[in-house]
Amino acid sequence: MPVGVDFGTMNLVVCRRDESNNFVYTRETNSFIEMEVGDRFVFNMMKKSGVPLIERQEAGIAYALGESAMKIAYTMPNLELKRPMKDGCLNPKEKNAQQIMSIMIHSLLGNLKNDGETLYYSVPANAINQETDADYHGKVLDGIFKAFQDDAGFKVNANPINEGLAVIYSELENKNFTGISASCGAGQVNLCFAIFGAPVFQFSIVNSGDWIDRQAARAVGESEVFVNKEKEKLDFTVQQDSLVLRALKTQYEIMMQRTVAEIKRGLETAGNKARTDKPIDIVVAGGTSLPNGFDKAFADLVVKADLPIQLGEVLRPQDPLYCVARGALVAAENAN
Amino acid sequence: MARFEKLPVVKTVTKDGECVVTISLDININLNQNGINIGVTTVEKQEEEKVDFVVPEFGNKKVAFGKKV
Repeated sequence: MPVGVDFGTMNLVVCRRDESNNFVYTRETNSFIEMEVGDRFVFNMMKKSGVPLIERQEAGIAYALGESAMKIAYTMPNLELKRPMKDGCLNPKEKNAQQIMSIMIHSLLGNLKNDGETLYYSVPANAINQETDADYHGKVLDGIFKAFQDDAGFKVNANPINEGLAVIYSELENKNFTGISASCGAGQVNLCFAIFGAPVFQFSIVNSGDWIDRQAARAVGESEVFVNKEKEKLDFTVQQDSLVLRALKTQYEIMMQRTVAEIKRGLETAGNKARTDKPIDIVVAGGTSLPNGFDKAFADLVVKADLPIQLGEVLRPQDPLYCVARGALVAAENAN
Repeated sequence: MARFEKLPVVKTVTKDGECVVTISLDININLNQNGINIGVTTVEKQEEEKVDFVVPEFGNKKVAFGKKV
């Protein structure tokens, strides 16, 4: 059974089909904290309460993984929340974090139905507004999947797919996989314009969810972890009464304006290659697009931008957190 | 009259790689005296942190992790 994997800066998602052919997802947060195992009692209590833990006994260190790590960091600000990926890519200076991420993704994959199952995983495009190393990132992910083996010794046949293209595969099947996607993750906005599933342009912008949190946190003097939690209350359809939410909304507006401007620039650069005879839909997805009213606010900016195409609809799927993984699975299912 | 001179930062290539050299001169000239005091600050050598782009080896360890949604 093929597998789709979203390797996001904030979220790791694995997508498969169940026996009834429905999409099913396994998700976790791509983060961890490092703790000294001074108090064995605390360590054992964490283990009993289901916190995913890795222990390095020789160093007296333990790592709490995933969402549990985020909750611990939120209540204990002296513990630094570590994220293996930054701005959409792996940090080559954080080799330890890469090992932790490998354990996380291997654990998420679980057991396979067959040896050599086809797996597609999302990769970002290089950013146009900051130096990123998508090539190194891709090589490390390839290494992680090559090392994977399940309990029966089964391995995967892993292949990369651009994150923006994965969103198009997920959401635009009824439009012959033709349209524009803006996958608004934590690290980057990955943009892709495809015609019949073939990319016309694909690139990314490093100014997305994490940047919004960082800028808003700086403006109001709070921690990024706190601001990120407050972001769950953000609603574009109503006036925001708290300082944090107003700061978040301002940064969001800057991020959306930049994204729309880059879509326009991409279309103008593509020129003749962007010509189609039907209206083009734009799909916005990713965790950063979750706030209520984001899609309407984004659509308003798109209309004002007067893009050089016949504009269709601006859509946001019901489950914007899962469409990259779903699109990767669609690619895996159609690979042979 | 005191004057602090800092020359522009120079990037130079040595046998060990590229480094940054900073040279500063602190000059004090007292016109009422016969003499010149010159102080020299230490040359600062800053080396750019080398980034290792080697892909590490990965094991096959797993833990109970992930929530079905």
